[in-house]
Amino acid sequence: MIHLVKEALKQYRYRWKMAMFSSLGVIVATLALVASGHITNITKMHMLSEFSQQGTNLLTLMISDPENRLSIEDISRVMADTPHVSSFHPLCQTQISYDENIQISILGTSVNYPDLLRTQVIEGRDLHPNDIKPYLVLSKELQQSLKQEGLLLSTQSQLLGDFGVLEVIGVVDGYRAPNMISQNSNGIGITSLETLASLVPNASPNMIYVAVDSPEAIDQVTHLITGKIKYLHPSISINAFPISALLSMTNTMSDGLNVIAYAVVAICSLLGGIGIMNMTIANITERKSEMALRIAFGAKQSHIRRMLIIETCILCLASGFMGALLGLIISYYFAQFNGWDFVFTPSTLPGSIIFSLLVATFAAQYPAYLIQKIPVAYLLKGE
Amino acid sequence: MSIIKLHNITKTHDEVILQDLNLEISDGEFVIITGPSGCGKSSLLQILGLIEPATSGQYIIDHEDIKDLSPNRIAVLRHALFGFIFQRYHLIEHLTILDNILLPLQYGEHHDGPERAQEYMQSLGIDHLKNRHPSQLSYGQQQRASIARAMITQPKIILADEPTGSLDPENSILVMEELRKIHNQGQTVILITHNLELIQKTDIHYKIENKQMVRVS
Repeated sequence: MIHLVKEALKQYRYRWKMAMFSSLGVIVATLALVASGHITNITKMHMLSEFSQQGTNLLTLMISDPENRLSIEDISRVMADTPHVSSFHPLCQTQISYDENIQISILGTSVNYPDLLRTQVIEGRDLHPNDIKPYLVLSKELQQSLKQEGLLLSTQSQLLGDFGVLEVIGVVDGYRAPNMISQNSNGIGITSLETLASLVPNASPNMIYVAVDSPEAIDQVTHLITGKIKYLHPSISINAFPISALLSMTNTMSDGLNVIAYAVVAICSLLGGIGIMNMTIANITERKSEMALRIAFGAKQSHIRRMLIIETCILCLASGFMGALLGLIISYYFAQFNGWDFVFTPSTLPGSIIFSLLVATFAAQYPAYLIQKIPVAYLLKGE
Repeated sequence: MSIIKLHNITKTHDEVILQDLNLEISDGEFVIITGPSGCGKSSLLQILGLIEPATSGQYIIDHEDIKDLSPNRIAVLRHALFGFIFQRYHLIEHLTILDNILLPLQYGEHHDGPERAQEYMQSLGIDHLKNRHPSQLSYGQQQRASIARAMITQPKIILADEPTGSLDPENSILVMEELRKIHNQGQTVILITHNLELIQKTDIHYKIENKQMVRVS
């Protein structure tokens, strides 16, 4: 066994270019396997961590209100009448035009938003319940993107537009869009719902976070709130997402990603297996005289088959190792790029090894069968 | 005591190569088989070496009739009984000379192979070349390495197919000396050649003539 491994290594050292080229398929397949396993897991862990930070008692209501009938007062009334609601945060995301060229994303929220949006003031101050004037807090990203447009805004600057006047009172860092609201890479301005209502009269809340006093009450609260809002405004449609549903959605999504990843891996492994098989066939064609010689010195078909399997296993394992390493590097940078934690998923590594060995065993079968057809006598003639 | 017995062997390959050929070789003989090119010498050697079966006839090797044997048993017999020396050496390029010599040991149970390889390499004067690859050796050195490879399993019979065919006279003499040394140690040597100068008086000389074997001396 050891001598076969040593011989295989010598053989590949001699034919390294052919070996490298033919192992690309397996490298790609194991890379896909390890990277997809990690990326799916990293994404899932990130989302679960996001949800768990919000607590299991949180209910997210997505509101579709084409006629903009729902007002803050309506929401306040409904929430006040609903048992088990400990707090609520309506959110309204819209855009205002500063001038013809500059569109600014604005999020109207309750003033106690910092915990909800996980922001921290880095300049000036935050919104306050006693604020009367139309105040605006900028995310750091918005401040920078406006600066690139030539609009320098800092605390006590004023933003004048068709919408009226907005006074910038602070800059916050760490803004992350709430679940189900798209993250705007250009950043966002945060203001109170009242201010937003005065700036954009037809904007109505498109999302409500509701904190419920116990997880068991979530279904009841969902039922009551949606019933009451629909009673007030039948044209409004509401989708409720308790954290449990979001967790289940995350799992479904992660399963879906896994299915896609496995499909990619299956295609790559087929191509990888064919690549290795082709190389082995080309290799034994080139090494016909060697095979014939081995048979002349007493090798049985089983010896040759074992030798080919060991050779392909070594090649597939080496390619699998390279693919796994590249997969780890890619998933690490994926996590870094998104600012998420890298989660090492050890189960993908034995998976990639077993997978490589399966490809190798499969790829060695047909070449081993072809060996039987080698014309030993002809090859050993003196020509 | 005969170790090889061919009875009415016929070999056809598109045309008849050997017909009703009879041959008996006893243990420890030095047999030289000659004949013109294309007369069927190599085909005969392949039949003798269990590499290729005859089309018809009976072949008894070491008291076993090969027609009754499975492919695996034939492989075992080939390994145990024969050591091959070829005109073109057939050394494997990606292996070192030592690995090439040790190659046949992979296919049987042997315990002192590496020591024996060292011994043969020393006696053939190639022990300093053991870590080189075949293309780094002269033809004469390659043929000596192939003799060591043929000897490594201590087979009963050495089958040499034109072993001096690609060598200069000096190396041819060296190779023949080695084959005679092997014979003197008690092994059977069957040498196929068209070079009549290699024959000595003590050798058993056969000639293939009209697809049949004729004993010359």
